Amino acid sequence: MKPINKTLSLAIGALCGSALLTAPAAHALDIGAFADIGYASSNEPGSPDSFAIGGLDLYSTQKLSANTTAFFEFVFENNGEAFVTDVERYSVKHTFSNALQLAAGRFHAPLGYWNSHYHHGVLIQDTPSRPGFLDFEDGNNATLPMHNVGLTATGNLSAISYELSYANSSAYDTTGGAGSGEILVPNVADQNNKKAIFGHLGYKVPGQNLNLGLSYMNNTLFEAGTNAGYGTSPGDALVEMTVIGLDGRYAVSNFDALFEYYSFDNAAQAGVGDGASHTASAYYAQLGYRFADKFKAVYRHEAVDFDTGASVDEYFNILGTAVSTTDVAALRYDVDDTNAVTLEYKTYSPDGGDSVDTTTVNWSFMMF
Amino acid sequence: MAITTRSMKQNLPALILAAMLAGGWAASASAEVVVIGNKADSVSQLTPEQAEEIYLAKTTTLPDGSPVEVVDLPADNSVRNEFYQNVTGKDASQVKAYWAKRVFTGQGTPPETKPTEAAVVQWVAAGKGRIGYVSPAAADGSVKILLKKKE
Repeated sequence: MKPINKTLSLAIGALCGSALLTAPAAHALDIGAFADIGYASSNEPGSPDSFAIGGLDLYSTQKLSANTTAFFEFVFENNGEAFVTDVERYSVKHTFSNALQLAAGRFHAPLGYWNSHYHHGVLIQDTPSRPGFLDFEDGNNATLPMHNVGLTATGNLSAISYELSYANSSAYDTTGGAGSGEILVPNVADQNNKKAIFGHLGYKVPGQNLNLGLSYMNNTLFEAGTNAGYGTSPGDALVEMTVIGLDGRYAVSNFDALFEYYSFDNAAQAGVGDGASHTASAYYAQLGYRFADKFKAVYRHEAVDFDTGASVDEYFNILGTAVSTTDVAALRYDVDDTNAVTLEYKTYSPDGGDSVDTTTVNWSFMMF
Repeated sequence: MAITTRSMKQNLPALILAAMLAGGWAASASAEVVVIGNKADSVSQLTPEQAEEIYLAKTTTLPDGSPVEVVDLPADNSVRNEFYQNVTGKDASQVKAYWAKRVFTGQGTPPETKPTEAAVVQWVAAGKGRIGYVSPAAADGSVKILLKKKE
């Protein structure tokens, strides 16, 4: 994601300002916030132990009329050089019934459980880190577009829930070579007329604390720059992706289990890499156990696998992703409903490379 | 067992604390909140667990499967705080934190508020599937009592 321009920054300021200046009436904006502060120690060369302030996430919702609501979420976060403002979610929704709500704007892509439930609130998720392949688009291990801009239909039919999106396709500036950019989610100008389709079907097993889900995505990654090797310029298709995912969450007493599995079919376009189709997979499985009321122990295993070598999966090659496994262990202490301190130990093991071990202490909180 | 003046003095802080706690409990016990519903609804009573599920938006229907709408009193209203403490076990701050997380994760918005108990009664009486909570004195014949909670 790119820093938004000054005009939008001023608009945000005006929004916040108007919220403060407005008398506490029915239409005043209530702004909530999520934030976190951490300290990380890693054995990665050139990575000194550091304190780090996390993203400051501001959000608000308001009922515009009986059946229409609006929502926005901005995150002030460090892009490595300076703090920038990212528009994360920004939407207006009309509710026709419990079975059908239509919304337009920018959303979290309806893929799996984690991305739809935890968003940018570190306090809400069990571990400070997300599963690597579910990193946000500007993250080191970003693999999927975690946001989309378009139209979304959602609804609940008894134990079944659904979410369907018709949205701008994602893009990548490959000018600088593999892994030099980030997955782009066009906010105001798509690279091509071909649109992406996302869908998630959820099922809550009656009488059980068991949720199952099925995700689908058909999305073409378009060129946002120019690449002499590929012969591509802005708007040219790079890779057409079809992704099918399964997710599940089971909770009983103090124990919970969570998993997501994704199967990729990445079809590189002619001239892009070997111009062939490749299949790939990514998954995580997480176990959690709450004890002594305020403590929770969590373990998660993650893996990403795709074709490498002479016939590499060009989608992952463009992203600069490595075949890898990751293990995460965490101990969380909930101070109360509004803040928690978590100790996390993560080992990232790229195929054929040195493991990177990172220990993090994170204090996450919310303001409302 | 005889209690000497000395032992009473030694235990004075504990006695004061016990008296305060007892007084607080008594005050709490004397307060009542009733959950009211529309007289046209087939549901005649709710359990505290059902009321909790409805008010925390964990269900969108009454026990008979019909759609339900709920309304709150203002955040600083003592009847509201009594209701949430008794039915959900959450204090005002915990309820606010709960809804902040629900809004953030797109799982719903908190109930709308009505300024007075009379307005709650009037709103519930005006439509099927509507639920509210008020003090017993405010619940007139235009609505029916679904849950009488006294701690």
